[in-house]
Amino acid sequence: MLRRFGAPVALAGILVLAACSSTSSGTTSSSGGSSSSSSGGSSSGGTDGGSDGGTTLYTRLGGNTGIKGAVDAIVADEVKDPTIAAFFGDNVKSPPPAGTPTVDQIKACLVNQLGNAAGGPEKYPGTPADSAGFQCRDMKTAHTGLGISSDIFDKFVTIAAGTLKRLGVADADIATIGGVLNGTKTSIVE
Amino acid sequence: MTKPRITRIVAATAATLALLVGAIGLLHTPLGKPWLMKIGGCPIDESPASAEKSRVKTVRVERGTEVAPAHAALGFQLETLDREGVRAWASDNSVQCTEKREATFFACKHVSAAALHRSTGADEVDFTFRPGDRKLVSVTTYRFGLSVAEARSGFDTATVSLARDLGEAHTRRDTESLAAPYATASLAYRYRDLLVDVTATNLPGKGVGLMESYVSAVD
Repeated sequence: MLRRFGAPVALAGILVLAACSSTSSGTTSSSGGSSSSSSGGSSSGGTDGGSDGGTTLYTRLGGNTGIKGAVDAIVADEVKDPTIAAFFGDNVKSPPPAGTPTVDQIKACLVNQLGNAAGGPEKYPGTPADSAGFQCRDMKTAHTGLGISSDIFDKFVTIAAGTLKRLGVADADIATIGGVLNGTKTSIVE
Repeated sequence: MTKPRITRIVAATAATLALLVGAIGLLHTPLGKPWLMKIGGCPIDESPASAEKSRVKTVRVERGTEVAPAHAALGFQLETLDREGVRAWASDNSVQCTEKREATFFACKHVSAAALHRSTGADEVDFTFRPGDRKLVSVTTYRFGLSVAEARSGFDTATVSLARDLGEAHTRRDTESLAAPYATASLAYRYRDLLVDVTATNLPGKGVGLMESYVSAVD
């Protein structure tokens, strides 16, 4: 019996691998690496985009430019983690599979998301991330099917907080951003 | 073998393949993807080449200019130790590791303090190896659910150990207390051939998380 089905099973195994290698794994995250530019930060924050002594979180983070630098540094640090890097496998391909955003598109969406949460003029989601017209998706849509566990989410937050701290972002502002991140947990973790 | 028998075998093979291709296709649709992840994901998605590409791209941007005075990551020599060395360590210390990505990534759980030459163990220790020469290129440890005191002790122990091996940190941003939500302490070294990060963060409702990351910055 085993011999009879040996060939089909072996062929099926090859097909499994071939099928997997030729399909997209979905979305989100990615790799890349960019410089860890400073994103400013001082004083204390409060709620999303809250002001403090006349400044908002958005301005304390250095506006769009500062947030871009922070996102670059966070993404670079995240992909140094081998578990998290695995979720960016398709995004680093050149070109990525159809329907899968590039690293730069993911970063642009993260900038829009963080800028929006910090009280900036950025819109999220739905805003095109680049001139190619890639639309940023909501967190639920972007992460569906990735199988992200609570432990992996906690690793992501720990690394992101460490990056922000290293860049000199104030504790209260890290707490605000952490709260924003935590608010997305139910949309991300499966 | 008779002709009808050959025909039956061919038909059975074709039907089996068609069924499998259909099932695999379904698992890769947005509706099927959650089920695919529940059975461990697609074995091709985590390619060693893309993981290495990510590491190289990142370290080229983050690395500094000086050569590190030491390359030991919790006792594991980066760029020297290979898979067999880590397997021997796991065996000697009764550590259970899962090998993934064509054995270029080992995820080891519940590692004892003795195995790490530290006063405390780790919930998880991850090792990655370069696909080409199979040398160790990164070691990452995680501890979760720590009390503020445990996290402070762990962070300080790492600080002292690294200062002894590498000297003063290139960046150190501490916090008075790790008790507040998302309170974070961070320590980093950026050498031409080594990147080290230690981070402790209070994750509300989950205790404090402590991460140590050692990454070779060699291409």
